[in-house]
Amino acid sequence: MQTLDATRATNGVEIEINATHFLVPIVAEQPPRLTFIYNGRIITAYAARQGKDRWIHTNGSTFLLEQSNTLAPRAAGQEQGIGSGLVTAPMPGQVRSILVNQGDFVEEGQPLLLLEAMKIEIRVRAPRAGQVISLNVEQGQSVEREQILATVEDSKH
Amino acid sequence: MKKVLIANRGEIAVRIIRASREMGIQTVAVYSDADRSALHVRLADEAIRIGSSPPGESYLNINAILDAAKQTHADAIHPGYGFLAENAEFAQAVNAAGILFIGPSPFSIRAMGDKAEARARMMQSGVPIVPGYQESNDDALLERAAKKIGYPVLIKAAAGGGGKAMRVVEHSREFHDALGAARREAQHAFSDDRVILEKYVANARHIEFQILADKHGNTLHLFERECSIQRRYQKIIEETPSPLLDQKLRAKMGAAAVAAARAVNYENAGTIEFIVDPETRAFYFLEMNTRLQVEHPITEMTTGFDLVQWQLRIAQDERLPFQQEELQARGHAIECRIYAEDPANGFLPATGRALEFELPNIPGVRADTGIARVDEITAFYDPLLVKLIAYAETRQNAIQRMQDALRGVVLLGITTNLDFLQAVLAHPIFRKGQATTRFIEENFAAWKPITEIPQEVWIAAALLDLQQSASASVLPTAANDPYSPWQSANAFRIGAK
Repeated sequence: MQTLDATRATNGVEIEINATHFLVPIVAEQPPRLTFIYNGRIITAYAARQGKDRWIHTNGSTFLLEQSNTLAPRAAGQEQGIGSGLVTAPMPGQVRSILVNQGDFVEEGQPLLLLEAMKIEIRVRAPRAGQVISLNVEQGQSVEREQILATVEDSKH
Repeated sequence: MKKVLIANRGEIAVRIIRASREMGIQTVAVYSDADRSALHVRLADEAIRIGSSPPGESYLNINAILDAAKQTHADAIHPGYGFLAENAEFAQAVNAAGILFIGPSPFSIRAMGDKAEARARMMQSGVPIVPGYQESNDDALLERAAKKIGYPVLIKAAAGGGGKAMRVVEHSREFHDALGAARREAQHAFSDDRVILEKYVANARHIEFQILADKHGNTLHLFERECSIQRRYQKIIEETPSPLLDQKLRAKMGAAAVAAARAVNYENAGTIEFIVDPETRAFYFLEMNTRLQVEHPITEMTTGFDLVQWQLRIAQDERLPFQQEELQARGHAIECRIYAEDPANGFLPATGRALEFELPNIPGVRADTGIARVDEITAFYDPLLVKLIAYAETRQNAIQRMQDALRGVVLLGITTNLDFLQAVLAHPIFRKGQATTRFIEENFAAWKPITEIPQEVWIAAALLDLQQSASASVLPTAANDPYSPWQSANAFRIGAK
């Protein structure tokens, strides 16, 4: 993961990336547009933020960055439940049906629940083989993105 | 017609409102809770809430919509596409309420809505259909028919289309299970588990013809649209003219399309969908959509007709003032559908807020959208955000114009398929005009957007944060306090997602 420090200077912004230091002259700042000079080129970017998300559009492409206050990479197991056995909702929707019972033994990839969102049906699958330790939602319930739907624990422990 | 109620939302509601306004017709928008400050609501002359956000309680709520029409004294209802547009009961209820339905008769909707009946009618009218079977819904007879047609075979719901409840069966041993699955999906999607069979044409091109028919017996076609760029039966890119058709085939298919529409006494705008085998150049009737299509703008660009306005005129008994022979298409038009979806995450629909939204301003580029800056994109409805249309003299020019236009779309806050669209437009098979309906599946199954982030993007993000902190440190209470954290808020550290 790259880290970047930026500090206001008189004629622009002082940038430090992995121990390299340079000045970025600012041509214009008219939110949401930013115009600056980098590597000899004039860069125009549209920028917006929401929470930790930083959205940037420049040179015909859109990028999404996340602001983080720590330098450590995201801890293993926090990415969509892989490793932790947590089964989370990939997007907001409604639980259409629950296909397993608490206590069932399941295979990796086995569909556990059906979610409905934006007129399509999403099969939420077991991230690993194991036992369904908990089912945290009911049929018909509305869920948020990343809400925990169930937990599958390694059945070999 | 003095006032029309638009029984829809999003970009098509905006489209219909604009077309009506130009003709001096008053407009009524209907909205659910999620849409209360949506663009279509703000553009209409009047707006009425019809229910809570789930479509079943609002945009599919026939009674609520009819009540809204009566309340506002609307004398016509335009159903748009999707929702109730092809619901014969709705059309019937609108007519029964003494309100003009902008579309065909309930009879035509029913006749083409039932795929089994549509196929039978086409057979009678001499319109070529895909070899198939729709004579019985009995499992054993279906299995026998499948064998006779020859695998691979396609099992389709009789009561609806749109790619739902369809199963390709490669081998007889899979038939039984596939039939069960298709029936279950059909029951869920259309409350009707009847199915029909069709021979599966492996490498097909989806080519459809626009129909315009008045109430005086004049039925015309406004040429074709090539819609083979699809992902899981959802169209992504459409163009006209089709790179496959020559004048002869175009004339043959156009005549068949007109015959198909006449077979159900069709009135108003509609589309006949065909599949074409590029090897044999044989074409087969697939289905008819008894409504305006999403991709209608590309036909408008090459023919110069405003299809929505013609719908309004036809509904008011006007005659089409031209003959088929007089019609001509010119130039090339392409449409790209920009969806709120995440190609890096299985194309799952995305939600969020349109933090910034700007469309390019390029000659020959048209953008149809129902969203505006700051709008919340929810999970209740179709994820279509913008239809971007590029029109130019040649196909080559149109592609380049579209690529430029896509680069100029600024949409921050929602993940979209913009990268994916660019990748498709750049693909050699698309460039050669040879894409079939399996093009996406065969060439983009493992596609992922590029995740490398250029240095200047990092810099822009850092500048953004510096701007925010600068405005925060102008608080009057912080000005005199050298130890206030706001004073030192001029340095930020960021990491990549």
